[in-house]
Amino acid sequence: MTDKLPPDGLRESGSAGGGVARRRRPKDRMAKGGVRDPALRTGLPRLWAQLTSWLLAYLPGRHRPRLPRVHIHTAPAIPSVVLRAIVALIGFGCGLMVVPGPPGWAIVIGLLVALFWVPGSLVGGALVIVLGLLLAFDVEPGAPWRTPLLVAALPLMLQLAAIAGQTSITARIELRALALPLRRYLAIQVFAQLLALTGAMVAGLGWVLPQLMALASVALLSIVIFWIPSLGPARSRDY
Amino acid sequence: MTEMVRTGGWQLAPAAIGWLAAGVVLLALGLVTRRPDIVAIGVPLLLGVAWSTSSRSQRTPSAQLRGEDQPTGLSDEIKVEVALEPAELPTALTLRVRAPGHRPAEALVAAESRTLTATMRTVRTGRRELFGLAHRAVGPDALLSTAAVTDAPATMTILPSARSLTELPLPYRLQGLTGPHASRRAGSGGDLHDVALFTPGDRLRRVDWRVTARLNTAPAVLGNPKGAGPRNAGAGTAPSAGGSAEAGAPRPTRTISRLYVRRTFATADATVMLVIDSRDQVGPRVATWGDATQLREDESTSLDVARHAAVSLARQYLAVGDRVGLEDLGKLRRPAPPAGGRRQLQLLTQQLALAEPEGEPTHRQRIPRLPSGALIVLFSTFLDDDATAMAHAWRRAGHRVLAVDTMPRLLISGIPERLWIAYRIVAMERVDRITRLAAVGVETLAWMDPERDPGLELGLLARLRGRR
Repeated sequence: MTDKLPPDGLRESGSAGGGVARRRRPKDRMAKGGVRDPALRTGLPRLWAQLTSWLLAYLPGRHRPRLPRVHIHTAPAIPSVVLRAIVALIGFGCGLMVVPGPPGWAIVIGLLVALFWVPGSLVGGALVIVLGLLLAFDVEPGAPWRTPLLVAALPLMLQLAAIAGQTSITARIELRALALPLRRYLAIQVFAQLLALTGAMVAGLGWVLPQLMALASVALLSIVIFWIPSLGPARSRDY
Repeated sequence: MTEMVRTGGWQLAPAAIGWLAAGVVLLALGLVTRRPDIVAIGVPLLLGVAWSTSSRSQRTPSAQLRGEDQPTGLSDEIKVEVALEPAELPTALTLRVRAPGHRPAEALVAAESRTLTATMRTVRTGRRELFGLAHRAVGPDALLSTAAVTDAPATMTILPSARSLTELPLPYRLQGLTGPHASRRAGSGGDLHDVALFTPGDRLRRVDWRVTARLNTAPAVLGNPKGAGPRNAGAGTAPSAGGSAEAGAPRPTRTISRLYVRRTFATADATVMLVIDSRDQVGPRVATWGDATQLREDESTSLDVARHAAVSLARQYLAVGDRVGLEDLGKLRRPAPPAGGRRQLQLLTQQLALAEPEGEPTHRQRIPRLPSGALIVLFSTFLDDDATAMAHAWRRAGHRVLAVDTMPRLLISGIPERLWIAYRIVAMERVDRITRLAAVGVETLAWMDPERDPGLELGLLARLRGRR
């Protein structure tokens, strides 16, 4: 196999696939005997060659056809990008109820864009904090359906963002995988909506006292510490 | 199935930190501002985090690839199974399946005891690492997850497909006394060879009573009154017996002194040795000849063409009852001896699929010894002189040699000028080698010639009847 040279003048190497030659390195563009490649002697052609090689290397073009994608046959699923869009729409809807003016919108839209691209990050929590602050500074009495809607929509937005954040934007998400978190979401919503209703009633009666809120916090902590763990299976805590 | 790992791998996702921070801030904000609506927004977030962390599954779900050898189908679709193993609590799995020449696919699926299917498209054959899987367990509400686990890639063998062929060339010398082909020797067969005197060893059912009666009753007509019979008439064959019933002839005697038998041409089978040159593998794009990693999955390489051609020939030869063997020039080991039957076809198909370049092409010092009288079909790209020299040697030894050019249809438009010149040099050398082969009596055939169908070419070669 002494004369077995591929047509580009490279000797075959013995790597995987056999008959495979390694790519020519830039310094290999020297003719035999160390003489500079005549095509690269002048400055302008050399510059043109480098420019075209860079452009072809970094720009998507006809030289790099779009590769097909592996297909995973799953149960009915939706694209992750759709879920991200739903998350952004929910966030936008919440912003419509809370955001008072352009400065707030600039922040919220920035956060929504960030949430679309990185839904599994802290951006979702930051968006909820911003909306909560805007809500806190909004002393005007809002529509009666605003609080229940916000109580329902913001956790839903965060829940869907958390699910979307577990995959890339090109992934598909089985509808079955959405069922369990949504069941939990509904169970928590029952409690949260009751809490919101109770809070509204108490506020309407003028019972909004710091002591009452502290008691509610203690009750909430009790639920978190004692009741919620009992929902899960028996488990060892030795790890 | 790998054993599931214990809990300990569960980690809080960054989103969970966001939930926790937002819940605490909103709760504090609601308390400070005496706004129960803000508290009601923050409470579900804290409840969600608490529920998620308190009900973790002790085991994590897992996934594993299960790939099996499979032939190339009409759709060029290759499948692999992804077996899911659930945890004791409902969880989810993020799957990422990759394949060469494809963009990876990702899916979030419910971790239930079931099997999913992943597919890719390829026209290439052989044994390769086709699918890779990375998976990550996700908690029930996506606030917990584990680290990604990357499994070893699934190595699968894609068996070459075969095309239908009708007539195939036979070796110059057939072997054996049975088989599907008629040989030149007399023996047990179907076609009439001659009528000869009965000799010890002939079967009685071969006696031709009509010829025996005719020749034993016409000694005078034949001009042989001494009764020497047709044995002395020449070469032990029966002469013509016409004119025995002429008017006025003496009445023949009724004594039968000699028996005549009908001899037939013997049948025989052909021995075919397929010789595949797996030392190199080039694709249709000349620009990729220097880098096999640039080969695309929708482009057949020279080795894929060789596998396809060899399996097509082997299937047809074995279907008619011939014996087929295989020699791989890329491997220094004994060839697969010629044999017949469906089992041999499976063996050859498997061996052809496993034929692949192994490192630097080696020069063979000795010409492989192949069964005498066999038809040798050499599948090569003829990019070097080794395969040509072997074909020369086999032809000199008296074999009928058929050289099949397995170079795929080349895509040479748009290549740089220097590459074009280099390609032209290699192409001219290749043509010279093939021309030299034809000059010494080696029959040549281009399998991927767009202007000629290889089936028709083989049919024409089959009609060039040599000595059998």
